[in-house]
Amino acid sequence: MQVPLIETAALTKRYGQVIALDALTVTIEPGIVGLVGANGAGKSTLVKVLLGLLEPTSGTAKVLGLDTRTDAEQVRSLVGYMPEHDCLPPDVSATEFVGHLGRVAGLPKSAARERTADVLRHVGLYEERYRPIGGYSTGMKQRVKLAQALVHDPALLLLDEPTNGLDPAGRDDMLALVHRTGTEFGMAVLVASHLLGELERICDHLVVVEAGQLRASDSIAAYTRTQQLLAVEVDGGEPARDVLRTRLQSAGLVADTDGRALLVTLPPGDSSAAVYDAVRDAIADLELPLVRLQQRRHRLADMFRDEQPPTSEEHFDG
Amino acid sequence: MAEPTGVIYDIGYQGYEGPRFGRRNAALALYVHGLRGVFGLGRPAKSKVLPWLVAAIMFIPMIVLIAVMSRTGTQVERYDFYPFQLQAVLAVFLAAQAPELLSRDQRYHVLPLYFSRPIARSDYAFAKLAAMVTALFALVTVPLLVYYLGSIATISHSASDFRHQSVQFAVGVANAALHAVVLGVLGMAIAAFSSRRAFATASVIGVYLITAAVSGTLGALPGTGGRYAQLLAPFQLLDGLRVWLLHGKVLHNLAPTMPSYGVAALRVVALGIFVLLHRYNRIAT
Repeated sequence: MQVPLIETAALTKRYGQVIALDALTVTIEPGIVGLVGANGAGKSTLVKVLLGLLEPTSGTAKVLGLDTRTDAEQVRSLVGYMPEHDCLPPDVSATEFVGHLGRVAGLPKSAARERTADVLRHVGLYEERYRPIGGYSTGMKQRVKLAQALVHDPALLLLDEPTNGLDPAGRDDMLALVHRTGTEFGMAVLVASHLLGELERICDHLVVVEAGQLRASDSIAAYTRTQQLLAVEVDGGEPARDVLRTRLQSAGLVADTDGRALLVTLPPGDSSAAVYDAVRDAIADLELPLVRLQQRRHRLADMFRDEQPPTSEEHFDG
Repeated sequence: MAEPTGVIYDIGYQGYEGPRFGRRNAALALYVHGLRGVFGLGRPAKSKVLPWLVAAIMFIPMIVLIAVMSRTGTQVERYDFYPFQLQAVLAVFLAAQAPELLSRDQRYHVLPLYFSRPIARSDYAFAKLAAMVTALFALVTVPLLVYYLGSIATISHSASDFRHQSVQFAVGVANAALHAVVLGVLGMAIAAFSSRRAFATASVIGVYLITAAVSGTLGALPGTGGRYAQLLAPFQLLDGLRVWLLHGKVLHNLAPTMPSYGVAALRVVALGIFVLLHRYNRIAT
């Protein structure tokens, strides 16, 4: 069997009274893995424990089969890390800085120089690479942060909120880059983010943490397969909605309310056509004015409904 | 300049299969990067002003001395007295550039990038310290070398003159090394505690001024207490150490027993290194 990318057992990290990681046990297989959770759920703490930047209070963590406490040096030579916050000195150029960090990561001088040029080109920095970083835009700085994580060709990339502070176009670029890193460059990637919509676009596996505990861990496909939904919205306010809901439930369809809309669970495969028909017939029979009939990609967002205010679908698409 | 539009030319990603070195190579890279940074190399022109101004000032007395020697034909100055006379200049350099090495990485949160790579935190501290010690050593030694060559050219006419000059130069180099280690450790241990450059600079200068004031005040006291007070000020300590270690004498008849300078200097260095390592083992990333 393949060595798991990341393996934690009862991993706990306390900051005084605050528990950042609460006996977290999870096994993550290679691929592009999203680590999702609200702010303060323990994502950054987990990433830092994996890097050996933080000592766990108890429990163990393994990266590529190596213990983060006893084999810290080896783990760090295999991993590239992009922190959440600013981490670039303003008075050096991207070339100077990334090359320097390549050498600190163990590359010989000439290799560090070559790979610096390569990765800066891969992340899309050209002439500006010779100018001091202080003059860069946020988007360019994020690219430099990614480049320094890639310079030593790590086996695993740990990215903490890589789209932090970027505008929508910048987000798209960064996500495309991360996706490319995971697919074309052949690296395993762990992306921590509180933006579910971003993760579901690029990841093939999703780990959900909440209050330092594991809430779910599965492939994106598994979530999507089990949780296809049809959103139905009719005019006429709550009375009309409830009439339709009763009707659908009596027809054996699971219907839930989400604001003004009704959510009908779609079975996988061809049998979903029958559900569409049943919904259409019910609305026609009740002579209700139909406003919207839309398939939701899945219900990942529902997992966060109790922590965050309901978010519109547009948010997850954009 | 326009923002890059995000077009990425697909020329394929190449992995790296070559050798990977360990901690020693990483520490060496940090040392070289630090030494370059202290002198503003690879940085904008603004960062070069102070270190090179200091370097230029360090040369002035030596140039003047060589000129005087060529006129009068007699030696004017002993080699090892030079860092003591230029202590204010060295102090300014240390106070300004120690934060450049340490506070800057804290201020811009660069440390997580270092500590997530295969180096120990102590490697980082020692590499930066070594960079500062080297810089201070070079600041004193290079002008000394010029003075040595100038002396040979102007006043050395015999083999014994040449021998004498060479011994004096060696003594001067040894003294420069003592200054570089003691001052470097002291300045770096202080600068490690602030992420704000100005604050770190003020702290280093403050320690000079306060220790000099305390040492001067207590030094006026009668008895051994007053004599030991000399050890409190870094440059007084270094001057006593120089006279004892390199000339086997006790300074000004005011000094305490001779080995006390050595013991005090060792304590300053050991304490400074301990504090520096402690700081970096604890620092949050």
